[in-house]
Amino acid sequence: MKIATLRSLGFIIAVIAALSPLVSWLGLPSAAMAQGPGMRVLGVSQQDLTGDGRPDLTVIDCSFYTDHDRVLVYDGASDMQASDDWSVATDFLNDTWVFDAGADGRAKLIIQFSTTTDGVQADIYDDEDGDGQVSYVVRAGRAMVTESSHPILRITAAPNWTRPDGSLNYNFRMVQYGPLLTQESSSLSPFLKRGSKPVFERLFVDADNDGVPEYYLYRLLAETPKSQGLERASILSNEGRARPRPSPAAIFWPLLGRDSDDSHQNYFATAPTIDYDWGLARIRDAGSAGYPVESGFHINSLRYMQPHVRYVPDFENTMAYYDLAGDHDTYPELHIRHRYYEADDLYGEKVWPAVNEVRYSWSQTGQPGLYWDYKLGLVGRRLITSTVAFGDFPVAIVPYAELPRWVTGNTWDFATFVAREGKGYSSSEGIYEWAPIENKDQDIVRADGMASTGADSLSALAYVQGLTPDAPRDKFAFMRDGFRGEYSFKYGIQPYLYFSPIDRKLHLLNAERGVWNIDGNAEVRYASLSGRYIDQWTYTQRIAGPQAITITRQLNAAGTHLLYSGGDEVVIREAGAVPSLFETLPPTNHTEWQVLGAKLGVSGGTFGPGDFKEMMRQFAGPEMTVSHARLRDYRPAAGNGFRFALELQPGFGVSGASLLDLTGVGPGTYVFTYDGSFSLQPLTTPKLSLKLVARPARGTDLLVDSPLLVQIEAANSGSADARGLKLIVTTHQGQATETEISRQTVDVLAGAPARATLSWSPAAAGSAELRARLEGPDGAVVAQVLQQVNVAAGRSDAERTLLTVSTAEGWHLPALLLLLVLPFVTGLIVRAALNSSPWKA
Amino acid sequence: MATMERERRKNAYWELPARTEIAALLVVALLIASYSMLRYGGLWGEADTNVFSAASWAALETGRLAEGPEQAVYPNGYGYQAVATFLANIAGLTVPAMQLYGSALLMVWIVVPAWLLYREFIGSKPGATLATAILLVQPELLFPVLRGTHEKFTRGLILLCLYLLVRSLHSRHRPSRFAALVLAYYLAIFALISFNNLLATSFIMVVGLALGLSWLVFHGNRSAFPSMPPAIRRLSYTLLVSIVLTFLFIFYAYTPARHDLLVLWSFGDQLAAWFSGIGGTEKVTSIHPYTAVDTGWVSLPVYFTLSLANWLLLLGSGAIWLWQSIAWMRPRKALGDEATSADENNPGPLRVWLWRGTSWLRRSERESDLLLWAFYGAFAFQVIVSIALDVSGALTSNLQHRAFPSFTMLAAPVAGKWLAEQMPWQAVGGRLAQAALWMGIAVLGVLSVLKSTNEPLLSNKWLFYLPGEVAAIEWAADTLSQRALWSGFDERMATSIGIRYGIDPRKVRLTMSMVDAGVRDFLVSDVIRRQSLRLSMPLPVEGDSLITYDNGQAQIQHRRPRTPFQR
Repeated sequence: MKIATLRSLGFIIAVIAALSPLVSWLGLPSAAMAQGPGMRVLGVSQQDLTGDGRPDLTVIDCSFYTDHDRVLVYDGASDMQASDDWSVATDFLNDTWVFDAGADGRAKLIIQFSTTTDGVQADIYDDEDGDGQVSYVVRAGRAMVTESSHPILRITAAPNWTRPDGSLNYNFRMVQYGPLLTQESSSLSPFLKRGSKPVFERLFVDADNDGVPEYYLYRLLAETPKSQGLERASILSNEGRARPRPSPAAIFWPLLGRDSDDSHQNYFATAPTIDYDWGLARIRDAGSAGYPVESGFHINSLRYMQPHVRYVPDFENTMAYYDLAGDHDTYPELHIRHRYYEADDLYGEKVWPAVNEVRYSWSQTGQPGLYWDYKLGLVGRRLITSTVAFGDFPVAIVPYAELPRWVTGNTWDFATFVAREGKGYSSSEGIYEWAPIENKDQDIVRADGMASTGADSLSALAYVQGLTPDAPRDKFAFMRDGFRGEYSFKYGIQPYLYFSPIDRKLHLLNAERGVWNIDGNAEVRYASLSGRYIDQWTYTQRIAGPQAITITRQLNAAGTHLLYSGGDEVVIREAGAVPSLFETLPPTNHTEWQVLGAKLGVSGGTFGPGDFKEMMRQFAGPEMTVSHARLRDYRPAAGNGFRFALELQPGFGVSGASLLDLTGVGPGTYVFTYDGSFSLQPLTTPKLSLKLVARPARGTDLLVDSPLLVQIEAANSGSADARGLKLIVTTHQGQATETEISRQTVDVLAGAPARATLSWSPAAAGSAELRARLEGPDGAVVAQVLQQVNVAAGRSDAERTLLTVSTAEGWHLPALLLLLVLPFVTGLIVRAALNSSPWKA
Repeated sequence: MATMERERRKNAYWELPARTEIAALLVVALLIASYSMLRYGGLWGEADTNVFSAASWAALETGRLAEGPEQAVYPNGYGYQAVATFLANIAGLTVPAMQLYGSALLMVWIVVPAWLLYREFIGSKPGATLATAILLVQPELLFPVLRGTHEKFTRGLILLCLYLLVRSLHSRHRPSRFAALVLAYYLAIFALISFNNLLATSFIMVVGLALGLSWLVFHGNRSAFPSMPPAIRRLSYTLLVSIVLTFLFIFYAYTPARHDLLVLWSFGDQLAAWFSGIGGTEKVTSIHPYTAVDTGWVSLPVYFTLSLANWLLLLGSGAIWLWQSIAWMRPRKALGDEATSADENNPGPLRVWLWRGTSWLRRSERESDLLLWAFYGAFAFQVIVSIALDVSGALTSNLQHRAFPSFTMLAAPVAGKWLAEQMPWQAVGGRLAQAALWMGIAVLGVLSVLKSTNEPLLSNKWLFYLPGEVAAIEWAADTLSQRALWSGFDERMATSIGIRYGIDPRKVRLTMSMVDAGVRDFLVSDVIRRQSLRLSMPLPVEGDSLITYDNGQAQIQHRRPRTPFQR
């Protein structure tokens, strides 16, 4: 071939290539754009079925499911072009595409394209009757579906399937007229009946037409019983403006065919597609695949969504993801899950005015993949007043950009904090453990060495519903291996964290207690005895074997001293360790994330979790060691003081500074109290006493129909604390048996009386005996008090007053008269009847 | 002769026209109803009355009997709602007025079918009057018919159906009257079905049982009852047609009846319900009868005294019936062969008295005697089965309390007939006995009225309320929206509110649960305080509760919140 010819040919090819987008933009018959890498076209042939000299049928031999499949494209508007290029011969405007996977003469899928007044439409038919094919007939060169009078899916787009640049137009609508395969095994299945009524709608929106969708909106249209909490609406929002890539598995039409890798991507990473099961000839799924997203959010709600009506999503009101690292590596570093129910929501906890349960998980170390380092669990009662519009759907959510600050800027009723200390696990939804209210399957608790899934959340539910004043502390007794958790029910603050200079860890400010499950055999338990900061660490290790051993160590941080007890020794160091190196809210943006990361990097420690001595020795100060000794019952005392019991075993030794004056002290147990200096006294057993005062709740008289307030004070004049006692209050009145009116567990600390107040409503007038007793762990009564009270009758139950109260005003006399007349009249009638009986004669 | 003449004139003096006797009985019923109305001045509430109030409200507001799942529907029949709607439209009667006042006054009508039926059974006006008076002093009958439920209509319709049935049997030789009575019977039975299909079904089962009993006796004494075969045939046709009408009603005319039947119960429950006439809503509001006796009255002796009329009727009629049964089981003497040996042998007065007292056993029996005997036996059998079911706890309903009123409707004529015909009132002792009887019935009437109105001095189950309590609940409905309010130890206030005001229960939920931890507001009134004393149950309020409302008669106390989640 001559060079000039080649040049001309090349020029022509280049022109065609350059002009093909222009052809699309002009709205000329849209050439099929998609040809996935897995699909091969083996050959194209055409047939004139009507004998008019124009092709009516284009047969494409290809491979998209098996090695040899066939697609029959029937012309829909007499505009089929003669060509051996399927993209020229066919279109997605009015042709009917019949997919014969396996080329066995049986249609597995039929898509009927047509145009509408403002765009294009695709009606998709799959196998409705279960015979493995989609039935159709050909009449006058046109294919007509006989399988069903209604498609299973109808997709409409405006103005065309693709944009001028050939990319997918993300403004389209999918309406479903029956269940898809994946829905048939879901709870929605009974309600998604095939027919002419739409059951599901999916909207894909690119409002600014830049080829990047802003959001997808899914909503259930089928009627379902109100009582069932089903997923009825979802919104996925592309805050990161990710540009979806076309499906590499597209089969001719860009929306048909899903790559198996799509589900492992983020949900805006790939274009929405129809996932088709060629073997069953059914649509498996439609819409976007993938989960989650680096920058964006989604909503899953149990309520129906209607246009133009302010929609309050419940359940997962927002599941938001943020690229805190700013690295655009497709993995988010912050995940916020906001579970939300308003008080009148059928499916919620009925908390007034609403309940918020927040899971705020973030990755600080930047470990690749969906690994999270910290999580805050927060509970509040806050109504959402803001609205974000999604087209015709105004939705009540906290705007994406404001959500992190909304979490960190508000105060919360109670909180949990979880930190990953081990290798953790990959999760697309943050750290599940220690959800404040919910019962999550992943919330593994370990009790008695046996792992079990599921934590009892009934107590948490009852607490947030106000049914019980008892906070669900038992729900947070144990933790998953490799994680550390803390909780606080005395919260009411913003979700501050602080960094402890002692153990070099981030902790929850105002935490009450916590636990770090190191490896299933060893754990560290935390306690905040003085209220705001963790000031007690207890390490326990269980070593299994022929003889099981338990190793325990404890570190207590008073304001001026650090006290260590472990093995057979006690170490006291006089060192004023500040309780917190810095306090911080969790990061809400890249800058804060970086700052926190830097602080943690600088401040982190290298000692082992139970290495309390090393923790203690970070702080300079005189140190005293007492060997053959054990420290217990440490607790803060009045002011900045503290006290503890020290067991000195025979042969105990003292070394180091003389912080405790043990001169002349023999073996035994002693109580040391520090209030500027140490004082010592021998430990004496608890000397418990009770006082009981009963007074009327209102007024001055003890009346039978008014409740009494019973105030009990338990005092301990010994030097040893008495813990875990049972305070039982009973009453005894007349012939009735003794009735228990209260039972609670109390700690009666030396020098710190315990008080309890309860109410009792006497059921009868007269003398009554109130008895309060303290029982030890073995059930023995260690203290009791009796009080006699005289209960006055209160309101009189005299018959006359009851008669007055029970009869309406002014009707006393008439009623009484009737009662007197009645027997008279009755007697008269009976007498007359008896006397006039005909048998008497 | 002169004595007999004086007696005859005296009897004639006391003999009244039928209309007068009926009118007098209507007056008695009216007095009972009026007392029931005036005792609480309309300020009362009761569970089943509330059920029918809700159904009536719904029918009036929607204009339909079963509009949809949100509408309160009485599944066992629509008759009551239809009557309520009719009275509301014709007389402008509101539902509260009908339930609180009309419910008592409308019971008066049962006197008429009762008297007519008893006259057919007994064969005399005085006997009918006596039996009706005995019926009117039965507290187990008075209580259900005085309240706002279907029973004032259904019990009366049962009496009417029986009357039409027996009357038609007596009118066999007058075809036109017979046809009219048969047609009237089927209309009445359909009316009964439409008020309560389960009670109607139990009545139909009783008809079947009576048929069986009649056939048994007839089979053993054919010669004594020559006119029974047509009666037995008539009962058979009645039974069959009634079953068909019931089927049509349940499965075609009124679909809620079918839903309740098929959805709620097992086959055993259904069988028991058909037998006893217990419906869906009655099922859930009833409690164990023996528990109710023990806790429902100030003492057991008081309970037995107030229900003395029932016990006397039960024992007396039972003895009479048994005696009659034994007599019929023995070999019969031929008609006319009345023994005269006692007279011939000049027996003593006691023997004469016994002879005459039992002479009716040897007289040629009338067809209606057998029918009375058979229906009594059938209703009595129903009571026995109900007692057995109650004792076994097979159903959660108070069956015997439902079956006993129907039993009393047949026991009254058995006793009345015997008292009217067999008691030797002419003897000196008989006059004293007569006086004791009419005075006794008079006193029993008072006791029965006190029992049927749950007189609070004697009963622990109070029905009345104070206006201040309603005012407190209205305040709660506005102020404690979407929350729960403890309104007392029982359903007294909830039912009273529902009957009178129909306050939307969704605004504030009234509860009587003592253990519902979600309840933080408590109604405490003078009545509730007295109830607390009477029942020896402490008020569930805490000593430091806050008084958030007080109108002098009632307070609302609010438990202090202990956590941020408690309001």
